[in-house]
Amino acid sequence: MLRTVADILGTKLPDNAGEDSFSLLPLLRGEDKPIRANAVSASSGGTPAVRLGNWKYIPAPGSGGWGTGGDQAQPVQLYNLADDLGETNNLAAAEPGKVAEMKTLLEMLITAGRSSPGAAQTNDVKVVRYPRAAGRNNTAKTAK
Amino acid sequence: MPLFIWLDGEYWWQHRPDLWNWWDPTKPGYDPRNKENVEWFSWNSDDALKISWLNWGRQIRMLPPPNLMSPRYRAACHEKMRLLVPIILDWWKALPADQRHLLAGVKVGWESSIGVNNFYYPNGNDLLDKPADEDPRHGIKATEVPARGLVQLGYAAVKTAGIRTEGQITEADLAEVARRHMEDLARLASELGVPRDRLYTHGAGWKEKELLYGAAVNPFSCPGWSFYRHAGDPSKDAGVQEALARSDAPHWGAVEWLYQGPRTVDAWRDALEKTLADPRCRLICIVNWSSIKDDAAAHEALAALNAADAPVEKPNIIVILADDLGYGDVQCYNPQCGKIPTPSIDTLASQGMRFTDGHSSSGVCSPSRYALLTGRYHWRTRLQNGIVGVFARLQGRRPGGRTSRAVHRALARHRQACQRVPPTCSSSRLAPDRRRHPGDETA
Repeated sequence: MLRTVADILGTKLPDNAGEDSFSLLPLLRGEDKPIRANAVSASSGGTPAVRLGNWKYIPAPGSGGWGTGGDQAQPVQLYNLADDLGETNNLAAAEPGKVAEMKTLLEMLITAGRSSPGAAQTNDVKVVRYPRAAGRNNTAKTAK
Repeated sequence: MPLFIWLDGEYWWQHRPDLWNWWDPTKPGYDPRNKENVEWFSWNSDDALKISWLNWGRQIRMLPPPNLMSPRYRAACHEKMRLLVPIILDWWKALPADQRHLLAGVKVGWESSIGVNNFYYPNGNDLLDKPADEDPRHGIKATEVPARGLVQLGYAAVKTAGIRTEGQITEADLAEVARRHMEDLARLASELGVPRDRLYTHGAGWKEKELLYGAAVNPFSCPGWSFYRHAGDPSKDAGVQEALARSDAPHWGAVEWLYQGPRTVDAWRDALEKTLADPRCRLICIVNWSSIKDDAAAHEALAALNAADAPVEKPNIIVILADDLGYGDVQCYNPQCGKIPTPSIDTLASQGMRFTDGHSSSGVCSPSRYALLTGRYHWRTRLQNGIVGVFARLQGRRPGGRTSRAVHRALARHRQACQRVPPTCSSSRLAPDRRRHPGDETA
C-alpha cells in the first residue's frame, strides 16, 4: 500500500522505507500483470508461509497458531494451491527440490532485509528461523 | 492552460460614441449631454475633454476618458458584465471537478485611475483637429500626484461622486473614485456569482506608497496590481504591502506583471519565486508577452518553475482495515454463502476493483496493521510472534511499547515521503505508549 500511495503521489521512497511494499498502481490502471513474485504471511505464532506462484511453503508442521489445521506428520509443509487450495495434500516429502528452493527463497527474503527491489537493508532483530529445534512447537509460548 | 479573464470597464469605450461624443454633430452618437460621461479639466462641464493621451512605450492619442462615476457609464459597464459573466460562469460550472482550476480568475478594472492612462495636455482639445505628430511629447510625470505634471483631471468623477465640488482635487479624492469604480464592478461580478477567490481587481501605483494602491481593495474581490518596477520582488512594493495589510481577501494577484531586470535564467527565476513567495499571491499574469517571446532565459525560468510547481495530485486515499473480517463475510466476494448484507462495500466493489489473491503479513491484528502501514514485514522487527503488548506483558516481560515506538518512527519517516498516512483506529495497538491505556487487553 505504501508504495502504491507513493506512486500515485509521484514520490520516490528512500531505500530504507517500504522494504516489502510494491505498487499496485499498474493494476488499478487496468494492467493485468502480476506485481509480486512472492509473499510471506506469518501465523499468529510467528510461523512464516512463503508463496511463490502456486506453491506455498511452511517451514513447520501444523497451523502455527490456535487452530488444529495443517499437516502434523511432516516437519515442513508444501502445497500446490493450483489444485489444492484447501491445503490438504502436503507434498514436502514428494518434492524435496521444491522444498529446498522455497527454503532458500525464504532465507533470502530474510537476510536481504527487503523483498522489493533496492539496496539490501538490515532487520531490527535477528529474525527467528523455522523449523525450530526438534521437540518444540512453534507457538507463541515457546517462540522468542 | 488556465484562463485569467479580463473584464475591464475602460477599453470597450471606443465602441460607445453615444456616451462620449458631446462635440461633433457629424459623427455617430452626438449628444451635448455626453459631457456628463467624460472627464473635465475644471469643475465646469463645459471643460469636458475631447481627447487624451496615453504612453505605452510610444504616445498614443486616446478618446476622452470616461467619468468613472457617471450613472450612464456605470450602467454601460453593468450591461457588459451582465452579458459576459454568465457566459464565463456557465463554462466554468460545466467543467468536471478536476478541471475547475482552469478558471484562474476574472479581473475587473485595468489600472483604474485618473490621469495616467488618459492624460491631458494644456489646450489639448484644440489639438484634436491638428496632426498628431505635432502633439507635445513631454508626457506625464507619473509620480507627481495628483496632477502628475500635467493638467489636473478628475473633476467630473469627484463631483459626480459627491466627494468635492470645488477647490483643489486631492490624491485621496482620485484614489476614492478609482476604488468606487472597481468595487462597483466587483460587487456586480460577485452578485452574478463569481466567488471571491476567483475575482480580482486591477489597481496600480506609480509613486511609492501612493494612495491609489488602496483602491484595489474591496470586500467582494481579491486585490491585484500591475508590477513592473517591483516585479523582481513585490515585497518591496510598499504601496502594495500597505494595501495588503488592510485587505481581508484570501488572495492577491500580480495581475499584470513583467520582469524587466537582467535577462538571465537565475534573475527570472528569482523574480518569479519572490513574487510567489507570499502564499496569498495566487497568480502571475505576464503581459507584454511579445517582448519576451524570444527570450530563452525567461522561457527556461518559467519551464523550471512550472516543473517544480506541477500540480501534485493529492487524492484522498481511504484505507478501511476491518478487524476479524473474513473475506467470505463480504457479499461481493461470497454471494452464495455470505450471511451478512454488505451493500455499501458491494457498491464500492461494483464501481471499482476486487482483489482475490491478497495476503496479510500476519494472521493477527497489530502486526498486519503495521506491516500494511509501513510496507515492511512485521517480522523484521521485534514482533516475531503474537501481537503488540499483550502477550509480552502477560508473560512478565516488557510491554510492547518499543515495537510501537519503532512503528511510529517508521511512520513519521514515511509521512514525510508520502504526506498521506492513514489514521489507525482505536484498537490498532499502535498507540505510542501502551501504558496510558490500561485495561485495553483485547485482541
